[in-house]
Amino acid sequence: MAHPTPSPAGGPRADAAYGDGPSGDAAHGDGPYGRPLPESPVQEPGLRHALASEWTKIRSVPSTVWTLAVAVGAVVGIGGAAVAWSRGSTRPGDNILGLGLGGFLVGQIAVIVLGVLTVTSEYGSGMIRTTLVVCPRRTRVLTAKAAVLAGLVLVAGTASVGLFAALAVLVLGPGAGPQPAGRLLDAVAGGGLYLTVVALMSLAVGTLLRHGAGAIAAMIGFVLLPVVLGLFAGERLGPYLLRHSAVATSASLFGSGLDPDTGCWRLLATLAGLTAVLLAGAYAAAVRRDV
Amino acid sequence: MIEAHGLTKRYGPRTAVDGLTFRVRPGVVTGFLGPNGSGKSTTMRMAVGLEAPTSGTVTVGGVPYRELPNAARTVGALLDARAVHGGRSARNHLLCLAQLAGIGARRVDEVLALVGLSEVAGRRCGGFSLGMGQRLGIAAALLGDPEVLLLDEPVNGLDPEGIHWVRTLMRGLAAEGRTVLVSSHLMSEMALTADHLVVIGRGRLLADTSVREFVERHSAGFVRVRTPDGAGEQRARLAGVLVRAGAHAEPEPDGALRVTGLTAARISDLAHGHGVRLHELAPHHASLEEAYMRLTQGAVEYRSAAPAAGGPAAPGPWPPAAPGHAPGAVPHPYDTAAAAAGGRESEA
Repeated sequence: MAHPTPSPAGGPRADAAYGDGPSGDAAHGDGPYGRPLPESPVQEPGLRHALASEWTKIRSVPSTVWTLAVAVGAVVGIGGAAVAWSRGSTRPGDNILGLGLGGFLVGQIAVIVLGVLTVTSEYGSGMIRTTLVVCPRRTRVLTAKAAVLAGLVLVAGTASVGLFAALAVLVLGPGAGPQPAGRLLDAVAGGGLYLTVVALMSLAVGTLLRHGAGAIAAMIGFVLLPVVLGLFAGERLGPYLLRHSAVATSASLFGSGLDPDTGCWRLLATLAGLTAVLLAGAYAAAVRRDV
Repeated sequence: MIEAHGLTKRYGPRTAVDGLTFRVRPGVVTGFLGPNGSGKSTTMRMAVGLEAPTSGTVTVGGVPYRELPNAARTVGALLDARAVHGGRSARNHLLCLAQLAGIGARRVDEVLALVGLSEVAGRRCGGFSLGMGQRLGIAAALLGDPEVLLLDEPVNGLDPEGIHWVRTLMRGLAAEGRTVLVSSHLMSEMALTADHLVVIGRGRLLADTSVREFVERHSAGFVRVRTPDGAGEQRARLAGVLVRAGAHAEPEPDGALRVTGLTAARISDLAHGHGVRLHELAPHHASLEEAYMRLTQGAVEYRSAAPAAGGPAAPGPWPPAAPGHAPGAVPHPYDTAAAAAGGRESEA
């Protein structure tokens, strides 16, 4: 490996003499200290720079790239397989979009992993300390993480549900008849938003717990446990848990909700509200805590 | 300029940093020295705003780190070379940091070349050796061409050539008028690199002095004198003679005398004059390492307050057994009890 001669500043200014070197301790420190380096022409960094940084982070690590690919693959692949198997068995009026629910439920597990990893991979590796030394504005870092993650999942989620819906309509449309536009909107736009909200909630839980496995377990528990608990939680709480569970919310987006009275957008808003509370907690914790 | 004032950090009942007050001046390399667990890293983490002090302040250029307008352009820090995401390439690691600081991508290639990692820039940094990781960490610290550098054990894991490189680099950075604070638990390393020393032990300031002053104050030479074994009265007689001649004689556990204040020639003359035979007469110049160990050992003893150890206020005639272990100490030719005894002697 090459060992270049040290010329720390790198540029031509490294050649300039800024002091007369260490010539005994007392000579230094007490005199006036003129800033030795030229004032930098670089502008003060802001959110824009943090966004660029987080985008580089998320795209330059295999684990996040693969996790996102799994999410897209699950929604399109499993949904597509269900469509393929249903060929010839659909009757007019069937809700063919409901075939995408299985892939969507699997895909959101991958989205949970992605959202958690976005932040816990930094805590796990210690990279968060390097990041926060470079940018001590912690809210800016967290905002950039959330924005990049949300943008990525919104685009990828909407696109993959859209792709599945296009496949379903294309292959099964002739048999099942035209699908209502509202239902398509619920599935595609609602599905993309739902995955975005789940990703942000995972980010918040990851920030609060700072531990990848723990945060993923907590989030998967959040998605699955209400369904299990709801069956045994008595007559008042049980149905509420079932109706508002993440699984039921997902199902309602695909037109297979448990309760036709509670619209999918209302369920989605409930989930978004909970996410907002968790994010607020994540901000408070990130700003206050030692890392 | 880094200034700490009454800096204190407690984790529950444990006090990691205890009322530290010191200044790190520009233009020289300041060695931040202390045994493992003495609070060096905690102090550095507080200096860069990762941890909040329990009380007291630490500022960079008069401003708390988290309020610096453009931190990465002012301060570069290497805190932990393993604090990288192993799945990311070296270039992307530096790129995301540069972007965060508003620094152009060109600078990434500059620092990669500077630390000699250009050829492996595209490789996952998880596969890097410890030495390569240190170079990557130094590259990250230099990204913003900062006027203040904090380096926590930067030579860990480097080969001799790398150590020499880091040393030259740090001295060059300081010579340009930058403030360079470099921590280490190795006195020998600091003696070669640093101009000034801030020594801490158990989270407390033990010394804030130039290296030269430190050596002069803490490493007075001594002479080891041994009378024939089993002739205790000879030794006692010699000790009495030497003390009357103005020396300080301290018995060592192996039966020798550790004499300060007289030359070997004078001791020999005095022994001859009083009919005491000598089996050993060895002038010894305490190394910087010993001086450092004596200083930090004192801190360890001060803390433990075990009755058997005597304590610095009331040294017994014979040095107690070496207290447990000397954290971070490197092997040195004399046993630790002797060094501890010397420490008390100089404090008395």
